[in-house]
Amino acid sequence: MAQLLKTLEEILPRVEKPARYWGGEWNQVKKDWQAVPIHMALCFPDIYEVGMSHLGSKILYHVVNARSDALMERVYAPWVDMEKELRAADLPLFSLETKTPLAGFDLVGFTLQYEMTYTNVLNMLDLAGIPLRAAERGEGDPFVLAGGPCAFNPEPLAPFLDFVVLGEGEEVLGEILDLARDWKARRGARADFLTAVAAVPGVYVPAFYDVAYRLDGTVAAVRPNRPGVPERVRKRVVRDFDKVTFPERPVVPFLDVVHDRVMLELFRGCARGCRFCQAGMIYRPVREKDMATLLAQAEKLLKNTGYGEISLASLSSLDYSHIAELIDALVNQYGTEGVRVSLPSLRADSFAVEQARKVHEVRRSSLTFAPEAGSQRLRNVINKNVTEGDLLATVETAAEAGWNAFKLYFMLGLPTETDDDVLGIVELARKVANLKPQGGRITRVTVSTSNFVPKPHTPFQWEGQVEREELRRRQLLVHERLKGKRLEHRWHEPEQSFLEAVFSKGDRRTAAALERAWRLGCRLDGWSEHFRFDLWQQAFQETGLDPTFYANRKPAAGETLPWDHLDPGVSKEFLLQERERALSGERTPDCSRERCSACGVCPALDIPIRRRGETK
Amino acid sequence: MRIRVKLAKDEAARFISHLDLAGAVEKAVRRAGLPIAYSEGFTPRPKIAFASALALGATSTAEYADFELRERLPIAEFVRRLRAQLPEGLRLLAAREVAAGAPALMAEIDAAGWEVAARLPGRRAAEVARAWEEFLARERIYICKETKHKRRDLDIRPLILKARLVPCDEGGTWDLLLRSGSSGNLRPEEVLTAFFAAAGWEGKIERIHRTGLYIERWGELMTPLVEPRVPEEAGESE
Repeated sequence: MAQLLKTLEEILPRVEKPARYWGGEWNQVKKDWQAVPIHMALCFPDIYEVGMSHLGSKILYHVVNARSDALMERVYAPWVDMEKELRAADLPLFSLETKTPLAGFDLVGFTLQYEMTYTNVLNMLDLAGIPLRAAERGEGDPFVLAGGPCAFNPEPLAPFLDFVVLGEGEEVLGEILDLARDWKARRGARADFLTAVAAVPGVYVPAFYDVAYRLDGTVAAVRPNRPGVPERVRKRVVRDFDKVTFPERPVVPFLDVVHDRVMLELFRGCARGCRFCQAGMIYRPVREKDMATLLAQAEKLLKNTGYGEISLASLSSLDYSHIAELIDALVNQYGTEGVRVSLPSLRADSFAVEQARKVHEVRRSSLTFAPEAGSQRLRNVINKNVTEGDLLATVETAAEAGWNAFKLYFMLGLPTETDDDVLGIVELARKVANLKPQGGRITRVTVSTSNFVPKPHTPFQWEGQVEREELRRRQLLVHERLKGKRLEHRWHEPEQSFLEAVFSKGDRRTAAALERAWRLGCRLDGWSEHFRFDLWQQAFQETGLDPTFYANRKPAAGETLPWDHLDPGVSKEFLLQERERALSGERTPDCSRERCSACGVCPALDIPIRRRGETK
Repeated sequence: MRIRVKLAKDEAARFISHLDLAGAVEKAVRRAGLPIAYSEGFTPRPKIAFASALALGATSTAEYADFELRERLPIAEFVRRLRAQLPEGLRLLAAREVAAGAPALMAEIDAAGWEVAARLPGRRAAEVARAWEEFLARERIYICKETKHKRRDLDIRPLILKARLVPCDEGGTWDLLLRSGSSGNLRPEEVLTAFFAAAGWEGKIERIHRTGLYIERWGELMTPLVEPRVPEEAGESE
């Protein structure tokens, strides 16, 4: 380690933002390595500034380090300059806390937030000197695991992972660590641990399942290849979310990271039921924290970090049952101490503006709304229950309250979309820009159009992405008409969205293309300056894979999907039924406000069905 | 009240940039619950002013900052509470109250002390010492200063106030007192780079440590923690 440190100190002055690789932040947990039996690395396959903004990582870091028999240390993907230095100096990727090479840990866990980070996973394993494929790892090697939203279809990474954790990690990780500790104490064989961990509910060991394919390339079946392994692996959820461990002393980065503030998690899940939204399906059901719990946590978080901002971080924070009281209490308590309260994005209703006004006392920066589609017809298809009237009235109220810049998020290429829907985006944006609020003015309307990516475990998993050239045409359709002095258009490149679709719906065979692309030099693909579509195309060609088979094809309703053996609790029947309703433009109400929509998650996970505000 | 503080930035904190250091100290102040004053405006910021930015990678035992408090607090209590909240690698060395109307710390600094270790592979101690003496004996030492818009040649000799070398085989340690701040600014790496070039050697700076910051008053250098006193009769003679 002394040698590693010495080389590191030589390297760091030459790289951009060396603090990314140095650790030592406030609240970092640095344990006595020798005194703790189980060592786990938490790897975030993107750079420090992105990884340090991830709430799930903060939670797991706290959960593991709260145990006396385990430690968890952080590792982030190096930026290109640092990767070059590491490779030139033959220095292995190491943890921030004790500068221990990754290969020295018992467990190396990745969180999968975004498909475009997959090459970073391979790159980090390679930089660590850990054999890429699970089958190549030997007795001395760490176990490589993964969790997070993308773990609900981990098949493109299956050959590289020893096991996968489905759902919320707080409790299941504890069970995994117990097993690892006992297994290590009795000096068990690698295979024994995998057998043991496969029996933990929520744990999926890809090697214990065989995939059979049909001649047409579709999946015939995914079946366990040994006894004692479940046919389907069901996700884990925390039942009593109000009482679950929460990090009261999160690490405070020195660098200015993406979300550099206290994050207060009000609830898990979202019951709005947008049909394109994977988070809305896989994080069900909604479970809220008591307001008293939240206020106590807010106080500790602010006191222990010194942050001057607190953000209400949940999928749709304004849906919290006691949101008005909560915001009032936070603003009254901390506003005078120079602490700001912030909301990530807003619903298009007057209540949202009222809440936004409370939290943005001084500066009226821009407000963000996500109508997602340009016409009411298409908004009904995706079950986004916002009307044009709602949006216009809300923007007007907000402009009168002092805001003058607005951001509107849309998706292009949604199922059933026509040019009329696309042009509806332009019309809606113009209507917003042309509002004449009394006593206020609208100076800028920024329209952001991303490309729809069909996601596993959603009603749109049977959809194909619109072809790249067509997506580009629709982007241009918006772009050319959205010229005007108060209008601005930002869009996403179809190539990146295309790859996201390939790996979102990919099966195990796509792993070969992924590995090839990485060997050709692809990494940091989420960063447009490093994205090399030509290399990706070469990788698909060389591995004989047709990426459009995954991205653009519509699977048949009866087809076995590559992720069907992974169970988020929401039933396939519900997803199919929602798809039917989508295509006929029928809306499904929020199950926490109106009637239960029978998605199946509450009975499947044995969680009592609750209405809004019922925490007990 | 205004409290002036002297901090050390140790190895553990050497890769924190100046801007990030200010952020880290702000958070420490909030954790400590100190009654810091805030600026007016859209985004109120705590009134903490640092004397002089330190380059990334350097260590220091002479970082100074002024803290504006909105109510009086015994210095000892301020020190105790802030110390408990400073991250690894930041140490509070000393503090004292300064007059509320005193000029901004940053504008006051005239010189900085440095300790620089460098390697000169293949050179003997005597050789290094001789080359350094010759270098310093020059009447003028020009370096090329490049800014975004222009290049200009600058004679740095007058900016080197004091210099002492402890040579050894393969390098040495330099003790430098250099002009710093609005009255002229010279960075230690500029001196060493000019020296390597003059000797025609390949050198490598290994460590830069700031040992002091000084304010010049009546021809004397004093640290920002010493209250400047008007010398006897100085008022009349000048």
